[in-house]
Amino acid sequence: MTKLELLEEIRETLQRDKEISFDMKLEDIEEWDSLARIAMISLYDQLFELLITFDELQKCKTISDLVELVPDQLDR
Amino acid sequence: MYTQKDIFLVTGATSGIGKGVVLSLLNQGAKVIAVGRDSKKLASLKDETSRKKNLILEKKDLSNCDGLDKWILNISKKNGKLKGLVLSAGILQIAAISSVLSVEKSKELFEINYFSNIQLAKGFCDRRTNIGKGCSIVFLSSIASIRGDSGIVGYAASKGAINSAVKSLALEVARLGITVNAVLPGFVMTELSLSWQEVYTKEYIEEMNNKYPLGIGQVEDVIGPILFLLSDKAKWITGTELIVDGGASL
Repeated sequence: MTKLELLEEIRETLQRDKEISFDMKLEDIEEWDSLARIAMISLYDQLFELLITFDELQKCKTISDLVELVPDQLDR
Repeated sequence: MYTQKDIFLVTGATSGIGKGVVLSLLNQGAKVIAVGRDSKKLASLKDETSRKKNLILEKKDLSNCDGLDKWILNISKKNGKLKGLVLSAGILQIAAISSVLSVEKSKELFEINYFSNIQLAKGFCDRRTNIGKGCSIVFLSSIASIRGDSGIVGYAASKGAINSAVKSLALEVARLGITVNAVLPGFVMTELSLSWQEVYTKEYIEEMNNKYPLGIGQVEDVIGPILFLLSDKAKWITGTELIVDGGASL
């Protein structure tokens, strides 16, 4: 999976029609709420068999930070 | 009461309770997306309403839950965001637990009565599908889920699963302004029950009638409570099981 493909998966998980970009701040995304965080944990588990914690998610400030949680699994 | 901007999707729309809900919502001015698997029966719905423009027909077989969440999202993209969802599609199997394949066959029952309905509810709760505050989902459960009877182990369990799911789902989506409730009808004379005439003989119906303090119900007895739960009058009601059974479960 490429970074762009993951970006699309994140947008879908956020149930958002509008585009998102790597530099967007999560606090500026209205869909980024507690349910979205739970959905994000499921997404990473399903895509990468990676269990991320709520704490790790809390530390993420931008979409890029979310993507960086799995740098090794993404295609260059 | 409603306008064309109030869009409802109803499954199991070609017969019984689902059909009654479709026609009543149309009468109240709403736009209705009627979902059924039989295209002839779907088309005949148009003959039963003068508000044909507000009726959208969608042929869909709900016997496989895969992708139904995306399907309902696409429907809303095509027709506008939804205000309400009535999940009345379901099947009934009557089989003693000792019958051949009674357990295996109940997987098919759960796929429709539980998984497909939950998948549709999931799609409805997507922010892109619904209008937000003031939305409602009504599941068609049954009093079989709270009162045991022989021969309906799988059916009763599939409806019981709905009752339990409703409570958690109601909590999960309350923030989005969506209410989630289940209606538990008693025995009403629908096409589904008529199709089981070898079981529901005249004698059986008479016996049933005696068990119902207010008599066996008709389809319209269940429609009113469903319309109520869809309406703003029920905006503070969520996670409930509304028993509509003429007092049979008392």
